[in-house]
Amino acid sequence: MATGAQIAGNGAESRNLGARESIEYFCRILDSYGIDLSAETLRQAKFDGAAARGPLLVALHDLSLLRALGWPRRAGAGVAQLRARLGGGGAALGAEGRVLLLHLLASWGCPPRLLAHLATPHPSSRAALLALAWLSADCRLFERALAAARPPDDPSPLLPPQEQDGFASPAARAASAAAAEAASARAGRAAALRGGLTGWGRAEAAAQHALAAAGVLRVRSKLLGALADGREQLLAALIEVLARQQQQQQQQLLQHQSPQQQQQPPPRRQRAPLSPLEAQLALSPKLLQQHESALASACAALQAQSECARHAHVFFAWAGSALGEERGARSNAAAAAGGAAAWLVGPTQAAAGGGGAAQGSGRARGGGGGGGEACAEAAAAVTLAEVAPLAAQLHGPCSATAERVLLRVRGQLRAAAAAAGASIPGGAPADPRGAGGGSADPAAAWRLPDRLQPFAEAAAAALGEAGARVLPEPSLGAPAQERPPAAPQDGGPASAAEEAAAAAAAWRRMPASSAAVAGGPRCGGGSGSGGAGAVAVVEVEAEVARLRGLALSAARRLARARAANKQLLSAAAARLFGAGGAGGGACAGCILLGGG
Amino acid sequence: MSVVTLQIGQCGNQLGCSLFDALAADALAAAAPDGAGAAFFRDRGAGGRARWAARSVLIDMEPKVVDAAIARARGAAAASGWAYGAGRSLSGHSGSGNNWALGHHHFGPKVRDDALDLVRREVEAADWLEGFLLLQSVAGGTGAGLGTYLAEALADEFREGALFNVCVWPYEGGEVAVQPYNALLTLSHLADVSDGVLLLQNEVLHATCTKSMGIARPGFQDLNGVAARALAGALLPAYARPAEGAPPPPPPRPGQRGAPAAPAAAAAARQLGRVPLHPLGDLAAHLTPHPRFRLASVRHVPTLAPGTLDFTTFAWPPLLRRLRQMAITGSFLEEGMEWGPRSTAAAAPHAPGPPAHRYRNRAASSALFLRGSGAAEADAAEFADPRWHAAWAGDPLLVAASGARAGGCQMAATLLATDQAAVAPLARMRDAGYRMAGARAFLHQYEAHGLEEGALLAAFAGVEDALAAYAGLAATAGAAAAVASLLEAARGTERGVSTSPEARAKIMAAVEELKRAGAGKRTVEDASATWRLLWTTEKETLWIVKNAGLFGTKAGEVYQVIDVPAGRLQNVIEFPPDGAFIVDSSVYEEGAGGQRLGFKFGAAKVKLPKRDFGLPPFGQGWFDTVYVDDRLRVAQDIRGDTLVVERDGPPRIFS
Repeated sequence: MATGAQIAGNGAESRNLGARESIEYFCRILDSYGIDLSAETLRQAKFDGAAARGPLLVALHDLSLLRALGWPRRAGAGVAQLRARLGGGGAALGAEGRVLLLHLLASWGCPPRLLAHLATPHPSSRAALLALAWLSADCRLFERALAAARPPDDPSPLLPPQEQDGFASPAARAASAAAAEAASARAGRAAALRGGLTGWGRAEAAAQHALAAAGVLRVRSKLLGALADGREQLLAALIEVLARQQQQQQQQLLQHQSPQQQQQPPPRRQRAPLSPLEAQLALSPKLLQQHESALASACAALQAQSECARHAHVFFAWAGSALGEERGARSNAAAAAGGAAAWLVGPTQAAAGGGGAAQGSGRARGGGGGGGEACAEAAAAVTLAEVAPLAAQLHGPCSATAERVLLRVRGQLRAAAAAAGASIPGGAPADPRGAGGGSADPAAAWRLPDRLQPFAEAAAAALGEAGARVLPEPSLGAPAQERPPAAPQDGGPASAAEEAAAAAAAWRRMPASSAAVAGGPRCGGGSGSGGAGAVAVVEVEAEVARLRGLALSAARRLARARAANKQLLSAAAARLFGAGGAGGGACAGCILLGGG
Repeated sequence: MSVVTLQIGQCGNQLGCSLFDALAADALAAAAPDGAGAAFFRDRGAGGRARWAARSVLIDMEPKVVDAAIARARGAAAASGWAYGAGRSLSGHSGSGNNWALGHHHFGPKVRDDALDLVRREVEAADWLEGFLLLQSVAGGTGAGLGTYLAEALADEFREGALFNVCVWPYEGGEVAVQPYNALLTLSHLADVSDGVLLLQNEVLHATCTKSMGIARPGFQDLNGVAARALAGALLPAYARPAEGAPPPPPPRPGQRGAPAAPAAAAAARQLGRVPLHPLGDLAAHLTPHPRFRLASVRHVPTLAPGTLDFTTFAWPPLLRRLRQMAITGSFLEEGMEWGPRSTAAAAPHAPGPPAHRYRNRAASSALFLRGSGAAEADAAEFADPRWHAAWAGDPLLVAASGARAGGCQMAATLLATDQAAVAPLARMRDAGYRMAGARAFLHQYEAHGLEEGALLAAFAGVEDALAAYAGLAATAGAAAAVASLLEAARGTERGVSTSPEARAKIMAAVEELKRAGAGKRTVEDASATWRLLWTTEKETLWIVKNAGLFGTKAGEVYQVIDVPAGRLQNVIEFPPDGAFIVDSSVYEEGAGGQRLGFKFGAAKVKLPKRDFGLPPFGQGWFDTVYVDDRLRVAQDIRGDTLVVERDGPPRIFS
């Protein structure tokens, strides 16, 4: 398996990276883990090419498995084998593999809409691309490559084994060893001498030894100081000699140059005096070469890190650009079928947001991770409920490893399904300790925690604004006591669900109503029905005002919900990651779900 | 590394000139001189008459001596190859008048900047500065007073360099009337700033010239020649020999730093260290590291009359034997040295040598330089004799060697030691100083130049400290050596039952030494303890120990229990397992010497397993505890018997 440094290569010149290079870099990272994926496949996936779906799902599956297994080395063949045993063959992903993939993605907090789409029988390749981008950001794939390319903390293995100063020469070392041996022998003799004495004689001998040893130390330190001074003078003389030699070489070079070359002024460079290390290197070409290669290696590692970060930035920007494609597709679809494809907005933003996480700092990572975990509770529940029926497709394992994996998958899926009230044909009874604690009330089991209710309201409102289909999960309904009082239409009390649905419908209808209102007076005026027309105008205006009030109220709720959610996530991140995590601005999970 | 020499005063300049002559004769002889050549001389190139310039600064308050030294060196430059560097001298127009205070307090601050500037120029001409060697007299005004001031200034300005002073001690007959003041002030001040002070006594130099070299009326140049020869023996390049018992270092590789270039020295260096000793740094580290023992003396052999060199046979054993005898007797001359019984010293350092009482001189540390053929292998184990060194000295001897000849001699040895050689002349000088100061003789001349009476008293105190330190060297060294000798000789004598005449002689010699060490000290209080017999001459005790078998038993330990506060003395001979012969006595201090205890027998009994037999008391007497320490006690009684016992805990009465 190639390392991050090998992946990065040496192309570190300062230039603008193209998207293709970054995609290829991403593919090389995947390849270093044994995952084969081409840049062309990714490009096709951006435009929802059908041919890219299979390889992308396989890559997604293999990457998920690698992450779940703790990034084992040289696991590519094993992963492919496991994939084959789970029902996949070659570039295809079998049903069991898909279940396993969905389970893993759900457990890591993959956005539910994206997960739901992946759970469909024929997910789009763009969704798979966005899921792959999300997973790459979530598992910090680029950061792993960045870490692999990091030069070692201790540079000594990279530097040549050269002596730091002349005192470390063989002769000096031998003299030092001899002196140390003599000192040790002297101390030993003194100790033996003291051992033969007792009482005052022993104390006096020890005192005299200490005085003599202090005297020796004083004289030796003075001598050492004199030697150090002499060494500095010698180095200064050496530097002068080297400078003189260099000057002579330049003069000889000038003599061999043409007159035109000689007329050109030589490049003037302010040169600092050579350090002792440089002087020693200059004296030994072999050491110089070794030192140069070591420095080049260290520079390459740093450049590889820089390259990795830049590629991460470009890749996630490119993956985020799939959002544009998706918007185009959504507008087309909306024009055709009422905008049913708006659910992908979140995932594309997630991919774009993941770039920020991978580029950089622990702050961004902390924020992302914290956000993901904060949202996972709600996300996993929804996802498991959706994918639980797929567990019925599971069949017997082919190996002990696959059996262990699938047993765990089955158990978790069944527990989740039981908690969600879903049934798995042929499945065992759900574990009462599963999600929801075996409660008989599915609605109670799926109820979101109170602190996420504003978030759920906001999400519902945002989806309503986008014209998306509101899924009939009971958890997405906001509690009645938290809803703002709606303007009574007919004086009668309305249920909370009805109010919400009405508000959403009114919000969706607003452009059309406005158009109707705008055209109404003219039409009405044109029709000649004056009194009824005036009443109608008044009614229309009143309706418009009411709708505007509703719109403003919804907007305020949305803003409050977003602010509350942001505070909650920040607090959760601060608890999880300390101060560094609290400042994380890019939270993949909350951006994905509209909370960012 | 380079050594910058400061020649200060008349004596210092004349001695310096001779020293550089001696160094140049050996160090500059090679085509590419190393060691002393690079340390004491700098290369001026082949342009002038002399290629080498001495790394020296000449300072005197009169121009005459400085000019003479420069002229003498220049005149002999063609032959010797060296001369003084241009612009390295400083001289005034009026002398210091043999007044230490004038030189120190007046001329010192006056010439400080100029002198240090000269020194700095010489230092800058050196690659690596090892230290400063100051040559000066202690009797006069310039060498003593100004020299001391400059030593203090150098210690302030150049903290990285070692500072070693060579001080010429005046004739005791009196070169200068105020020499006691000057000498005491000089030595006390140098003790604070110098890393080592080497004393050269004019008396010794003069006697060497007259007795060893046959010069009837030696002049200063002769004296300086002898002194320079000895100094060169210590300053010329040498390699440290491994300590006794240590394996020799591996041979240096060709071209490696420290590998001697000369083939003659290669063989010697094979047994030696790779890096030559630093002439000042290593000397200060090995010889004078102890702050209380900075005064050192120098002895050099052979000292031959001119013209006798070619007819002299050299051998290391007699040469070193003479030098060692000079050392332990404190003599500086081979002539008239006390030899005594011939030493039976063998190669081992702890082999028996002369009796302990024959060690008239002892040293805190020493450095032996051997030069010439076979220097690396010459047996110098006798110099590691612990009886000659302080008892506490763990590693007192440095032996260095060089295969190169010194002074043309096939073999030569130089011994530097922080020994007691300076004690006697220093004590005499101190006494003379006290007498003069008591009469306030010449003090006004010193006070006129800023010397306060307190400074003079401080000088006296400093000298007293030095004298006390060196005097204590004898006591501790002698006692420890005697104890070691006694214990070694008593081993295997069965507590005196089977003592050979040789062992008896050694034991008695050690006892005499211990008696000297313990003379005048109170020992009565320290005698209270339980003592176990090591050796005795007491016939009764020895008869019982020897003939216990006749009674069907055998003698065990023999104890003496003394409890002076309780007035109780008990002599016990054990017969294992349960028997014992116990004599109880009363004990009391007798006389005023503090060592004698009188006793009177009170009861005696033979203890048997089933019953005890009482015996009548039979007499009284006394014994002297002539020596006692934490381990050992030596006593001699009224009958002249000797008792050596070992401490076995507090008084423990047997019953």
